[in-house]
Amino acid sequence: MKKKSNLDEMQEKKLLKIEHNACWIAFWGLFAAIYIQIALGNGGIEHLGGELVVMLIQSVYIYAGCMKNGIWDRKLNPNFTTNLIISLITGLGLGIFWALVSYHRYHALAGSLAAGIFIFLSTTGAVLLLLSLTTAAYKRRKKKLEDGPDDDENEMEKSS
Amino acid sequence: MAKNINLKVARAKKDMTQKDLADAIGVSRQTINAIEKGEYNPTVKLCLKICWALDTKLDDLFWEEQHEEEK
Repeated sequence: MKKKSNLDEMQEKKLLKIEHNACWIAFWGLFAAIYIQIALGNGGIEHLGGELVVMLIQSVYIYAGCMKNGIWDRKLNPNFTTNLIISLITGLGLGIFWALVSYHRYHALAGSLAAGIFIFLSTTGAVLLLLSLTTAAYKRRKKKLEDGPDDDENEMEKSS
Repeated sequence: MAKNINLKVARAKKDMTQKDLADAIGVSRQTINAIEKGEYNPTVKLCLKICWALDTKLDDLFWEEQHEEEK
């Protein structure tokens, strides 16, 4: 039996907003924790396994939920330019991070720069590829949802 | 969102406090207060419940003329 909610619709909406904020605090908190651990030299799976699994599950859940409902983002458009900018920002952030971590560990400027450039290029490429694939999947899904028959058409087909 | 004066007036005509109306339709007083202050946009379902409780029509309480920028 479904238990009656103690909340009315406005309280329900407010609770959803609170849970939404908590979800993103957890997401970015995990993100920060992972990078702080790596920067401190605790980047092994034994230190980060739990965080990575939780973040992966959260990311897959958000992705699958959005994909199922044909949602991309509130503000960003699913096109090549946006994907490229996001890929470059991600690649640049990660490249600088790895260059700094590498320099902190080995004190070799050239090697650290090379590591940073390698991470920048590989991350940018990987993110761009991933975003291109997910953008294409999103567009297919959205088209399917938009082109689908109206509910009353479905009902008419069923009754005939 | 503008304040819902019509709701306030209809409630006063019925001699109901925000708490009375909230209890009658099964929501919190905060929700009625937020609707009257224009801070919360209720669902049609809740609008109907309010109208039934106050013996009014949807138009009387919730109709607004379309603003120029919304056309």
